[in-house]
Amino acid sequence: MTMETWQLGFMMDRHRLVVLMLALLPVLVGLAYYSGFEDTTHFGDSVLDAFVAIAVTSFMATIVLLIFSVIKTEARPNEWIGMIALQAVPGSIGALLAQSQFGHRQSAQRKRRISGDFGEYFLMCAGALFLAANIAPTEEVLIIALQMSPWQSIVLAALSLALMHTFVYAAGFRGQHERPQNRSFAAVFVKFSVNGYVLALAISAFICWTFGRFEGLTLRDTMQIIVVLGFPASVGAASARLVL
Amino acid sequence: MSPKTTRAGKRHDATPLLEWVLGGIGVVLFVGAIAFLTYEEFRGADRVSGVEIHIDEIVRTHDAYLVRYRAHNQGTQTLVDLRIVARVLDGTTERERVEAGIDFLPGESWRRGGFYLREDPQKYRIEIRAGGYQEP
Repeated sequence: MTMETWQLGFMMDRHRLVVLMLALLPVLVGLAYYSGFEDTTHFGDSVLDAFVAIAVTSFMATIVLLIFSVIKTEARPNEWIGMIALQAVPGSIGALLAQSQFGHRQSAQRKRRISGDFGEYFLMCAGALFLAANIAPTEEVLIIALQMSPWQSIVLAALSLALMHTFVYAAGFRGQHERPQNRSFAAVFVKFSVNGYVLALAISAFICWTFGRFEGLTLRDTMQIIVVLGFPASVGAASARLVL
Repeated sequence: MSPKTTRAGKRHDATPLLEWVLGGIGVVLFVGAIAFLTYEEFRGADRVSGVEIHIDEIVRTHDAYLVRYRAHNQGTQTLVDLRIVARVLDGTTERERVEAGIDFLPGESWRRGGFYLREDPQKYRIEIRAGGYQEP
């Protein structure tokens, strides 16, 4: 709901917005699939849930943007369709996350789907996308990146990585993962935290590209923007592993 | 998004009608938005053009003359920080000059604004034009 988000809705390149929306769909389906129950949620249900999330989010975004007078009645379709479509990206992920947490009572007999390594990576991507898509439109990402030195970027990257690992394995949050007895700290750290951070950076780069954040920047500034956005994205990735 | 209670063969029976309806609406919205945005993309690159300015009304306030205008972006390129300049002219002599700004003017869209002038613009000639902008 930041001003930059709705401005990007009509300013960003249309082909990039289409790419972002097309990328969103499999994320929503996968999220519905992995956050569902092993014995009852099937692929078809997940596809249906994804489109329900899009419908609900689009409806709510339209209502709220109208109440806030962001969408004017005289605005062209190009303007408001872009705004609503962009709001729907984090909104529909949020709708599915909310459904997985509050949607229905969990019983002891019903098991969450066992996701495996691919599922863990997928959930991390979804969590990173959720936070990155919320934060990337803000000017602060660019401003912070431009005022940081390369050393500060390296420290931020290390901090992001450490936070990711601490979140999932050490902080004692609900849903904390236990390190398997037969796996060393280094193996688990590389397999999930390092790989997860790389995925969070990739998601950050993708989101920044779709929003045109790299236009006219040097390679150094581009990398720093990715690292800055990678900070919340990595927290989102780690949180998704805990929550789902 | 309610729980399904049966195995694959019967699961559709347990899916509420509302969920099917919302899912259908979601499909229409998603496909419609993709189609519309793709159409917009293939209309061509963003085109910069002029900004047409219409004076809607002139209102006498307690200490000024308020000139309310409507700026219409003729191009498809969004204009950022658009500067609008109003000049009150007596023949060729400039009696007053005021500037205002519009943060964002999306392509083929319009926004309203106003100028507070000391001089009565109805006694003289008023010229309002776009002064400059930034690309997004």
